Amino acid sequence: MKKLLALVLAAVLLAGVLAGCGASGSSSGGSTSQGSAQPAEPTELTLWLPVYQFGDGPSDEEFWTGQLASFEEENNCTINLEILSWTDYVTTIYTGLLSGDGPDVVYTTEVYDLIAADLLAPLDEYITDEDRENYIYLDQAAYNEEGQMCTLPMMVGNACVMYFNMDILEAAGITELPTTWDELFDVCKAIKESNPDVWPFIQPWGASNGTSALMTGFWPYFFQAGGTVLDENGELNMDSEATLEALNFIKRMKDEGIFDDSITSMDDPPGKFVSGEAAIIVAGTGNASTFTENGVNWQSVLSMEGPAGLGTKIAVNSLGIANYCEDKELAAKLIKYLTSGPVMDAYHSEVYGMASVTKDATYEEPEPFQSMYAEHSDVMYVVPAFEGSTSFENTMMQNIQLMLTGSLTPEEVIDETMTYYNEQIKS
Amino acid sequence: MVKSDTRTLRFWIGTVLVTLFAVLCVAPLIYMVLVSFTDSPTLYISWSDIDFTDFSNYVYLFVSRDFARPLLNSVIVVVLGCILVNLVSCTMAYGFEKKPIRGKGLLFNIVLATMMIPTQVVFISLFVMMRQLDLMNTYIALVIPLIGAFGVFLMRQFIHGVPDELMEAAEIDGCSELGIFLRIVLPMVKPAVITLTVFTFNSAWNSFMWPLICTTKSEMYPLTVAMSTLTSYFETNYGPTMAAATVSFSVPFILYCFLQKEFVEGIALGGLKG
Amino acid sequence: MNGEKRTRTRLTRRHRQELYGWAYILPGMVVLTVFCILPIFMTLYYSFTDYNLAQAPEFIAFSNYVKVFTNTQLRKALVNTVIYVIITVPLQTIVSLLAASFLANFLNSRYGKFLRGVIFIPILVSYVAAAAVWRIIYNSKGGILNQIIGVFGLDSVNWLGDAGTALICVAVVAVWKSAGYFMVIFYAGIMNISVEVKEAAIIDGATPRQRFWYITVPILKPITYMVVTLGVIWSFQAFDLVYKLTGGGPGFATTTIAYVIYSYAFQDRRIGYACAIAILLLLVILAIHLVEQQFFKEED
Repeated sequence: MKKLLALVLAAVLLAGVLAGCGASGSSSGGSTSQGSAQPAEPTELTLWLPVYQFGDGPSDEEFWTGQLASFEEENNCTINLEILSWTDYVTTIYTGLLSGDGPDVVYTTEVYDLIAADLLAPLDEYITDEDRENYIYLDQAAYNEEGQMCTLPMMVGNACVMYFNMDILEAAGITELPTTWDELFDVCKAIKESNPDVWPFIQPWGASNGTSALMTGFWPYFFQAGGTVLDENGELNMDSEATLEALNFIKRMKDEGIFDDSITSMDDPPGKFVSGEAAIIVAGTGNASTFTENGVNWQSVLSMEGPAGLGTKIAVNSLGIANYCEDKELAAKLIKYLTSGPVMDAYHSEVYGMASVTKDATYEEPEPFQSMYAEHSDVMYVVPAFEGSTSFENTMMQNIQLMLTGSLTPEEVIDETMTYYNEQIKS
Repeated sequence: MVKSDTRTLRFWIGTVLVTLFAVLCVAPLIYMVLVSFTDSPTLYISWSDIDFTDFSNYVYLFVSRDFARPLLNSVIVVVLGCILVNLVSCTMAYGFEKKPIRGKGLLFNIVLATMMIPTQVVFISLFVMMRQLDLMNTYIALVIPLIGAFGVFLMRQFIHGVPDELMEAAEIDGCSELGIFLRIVLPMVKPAVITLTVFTFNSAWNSFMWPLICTTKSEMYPLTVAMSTLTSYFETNYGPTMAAATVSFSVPFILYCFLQKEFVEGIALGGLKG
Repeated sequence: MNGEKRTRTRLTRRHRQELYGWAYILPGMVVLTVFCILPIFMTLYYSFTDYNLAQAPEFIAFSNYVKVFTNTQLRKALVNTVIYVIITVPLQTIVSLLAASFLANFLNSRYGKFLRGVIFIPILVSYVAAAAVWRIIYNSKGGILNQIIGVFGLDSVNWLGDAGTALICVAVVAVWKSAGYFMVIFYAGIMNISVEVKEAAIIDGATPRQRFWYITVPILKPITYMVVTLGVIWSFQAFDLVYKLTGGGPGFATTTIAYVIYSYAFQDRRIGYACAIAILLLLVILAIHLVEQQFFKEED
């Protein structure tokens, strides 16, 4: 009798553990099993997109839910939409795709690891000749080693341009915007003299990760100095004169007192620009509407002229389909729907403005950006995918922080970063 | 007379110092609550910016950012965690302490040794394992690392104090084995159960690294992770972040107000016995 | 006849009891073995492989360990972690011991109990929430700390952005959060010193100082040992605060070993490499523990 009771106790314990497993298992695995077992049920697809609404417009959820309704009805399917924050975005989608329980359709920013790990499905068979004609940036899509296309460009643009708070500039007696690096320094010094309480110019050297910091803090100047990220053999080409020029530019900002010591804890330049604490920043063109909504009297130019002339960073982010997706046909239909002219037009005007990715789209960026994209597309560069780019950018950022606190020279930054990259990151 | 004067002086200095220390302990939290009632993009906040009737930051959290879900997740994890940890710890401690198991000394030492292992050593492989078992984004994954040797160790110390004669007497009286465990042993170690529950509650509610690793879907985020994603690159306003911190703090704080004795004793007992 | 029967029942009783014992410990043992012990060996195995979660682990013998010893970032992280431990552990031990002994010996009033309750409160805050609050407090422009020192005419300090202060600032938050915890433990220990021992000492004419050194200190020694051990283990694994407060920066000023392991494993997906570092961390902690044990033993 007692033995039995002890056994029952043990069984209860085990059952408790198993029940917990079962309960949680069914909630997470439900979506896929339902779809295949009962064809009458609508197919389910999970869609992961990042946050792009930073202003007062409809939230990302509201916008996409509205747009997806007709797609769901037409194709008898349910789209599980998930809007992800930018914090650890790359890690989140990577682990999601690896787990096999993540998204079917996903918005990707850095594709090297995803392609190397064979997590994305080739899309070629779903792209018709008509599509090839319509999509403008297909050569910017991600291709795997066999040359198959694995992503479809969705968000192109958000060029990192320079914004000026005209009220602060005018108060400092500046009527003409600078055009070269040297002129920029003069303007910054004039602002500092007239109003010591504002930042004349800031960069995000306290950002939480290297990718955010380098996006507006390094790459634009690197391109203005004529840098290319990869050489013709596809090898990382950061040990270059252009890197040194860009680093010297950043260091000069600190040396001349335009950055104060707290630059290494600066994590939010757009916020400082909105609150009127910063006079000049570099930020994506998509931020303009937020600045306007907050009553900032701003003007913008593409970039300063560096040693190699104008230049800046542009983003190409794409949609991909997970390799484990059970209905790739429908998923492909979904990504084409999401990137179609009418949907993107609505998105660009209501949520976040960027360049149109298809020829049938009519959206035009507000001025001055539309003419920037039209006139200067030859100096807008993409930072290409390369092995260990996240670690590289983190290391680079941390070494630049050391340069800003006076522990490293620009040459040493390059040296340390490249040594670390070659010895520790590259396989 | 001189001596008593210096003692009084020392007493007052000590009192002032300890009071100051206590103020330093809570001042940041008061500041947190104050900022959560402001709507200011900068930190130059004056008293006039604080409006206790303005719950807009909290509304933003629960309406726009759907904070009810992570709150619920945290509650589920804490409740499940406390139940499981107590169940495993009590049964194991009872078996180890009161039952004649061959080789139990060695077994118990192995269990104890896991207390020394840094969490990072376990978490990497646990993450790999959870992925392979398809347990990512489940409550079970969130709860499992809460189970550890500490609870077993703590419980064993207390069960040691339960006299064998009492259990034998109960057995002679015809009490079943399970009855002895449930009706004799468990009631006698109730303080330890409370201790362990307080401990588990605190570590489950505040755990961050593991949930950060094993949840990839926002619907499974506990409060700490949801709060962490709130402070993303583009957030300019400090109010919502502080409101989230206030929400996450308020649950253990309210419990603490009602169960102060249990909390303090729980922590102290855990410390002394451990 | 009678005697024989008794032996038989005794034997079966023992067996039965052992069986019960197994029934009690087995479920727990299984859980602990699978989720606590097995991962340790998995980590050990992965540390000899190249593994990125996507492809199967590839055995590369000691390559990861060789790489560890040339990793300059890791060396900085190790130095930071040691400094962090050296700041936090003595500070929180001394502060909590002083507060506890004062409250227990001199202020055992209602007000003392209230203070004790207040000092305990930071334990209830998660590191994430604590980091969010302190990040604002430390903010270089407009943070309340700089506003306060501004009242005294001091220049603003770039608390978290300066390599010289960032690690100390992180350590201060850690001490702020855990001092109350250790105080409660010390307090309970001091209250446990029986009144008779104290009275006997007073009758014997022991001065307060003698009483502190010859009664309080020896009794508190095991507790101090525990406080120090726990403190060292916690500080060696400092992650949450660093992750949310500084992200390891500026430069590598606040990069701790735990942070490196996290970022290598989960941000860079270099699982094998991270496992090698984790195993080395384990060895370091064990070594410290042995030294500490020796230290506390010798003094007895």
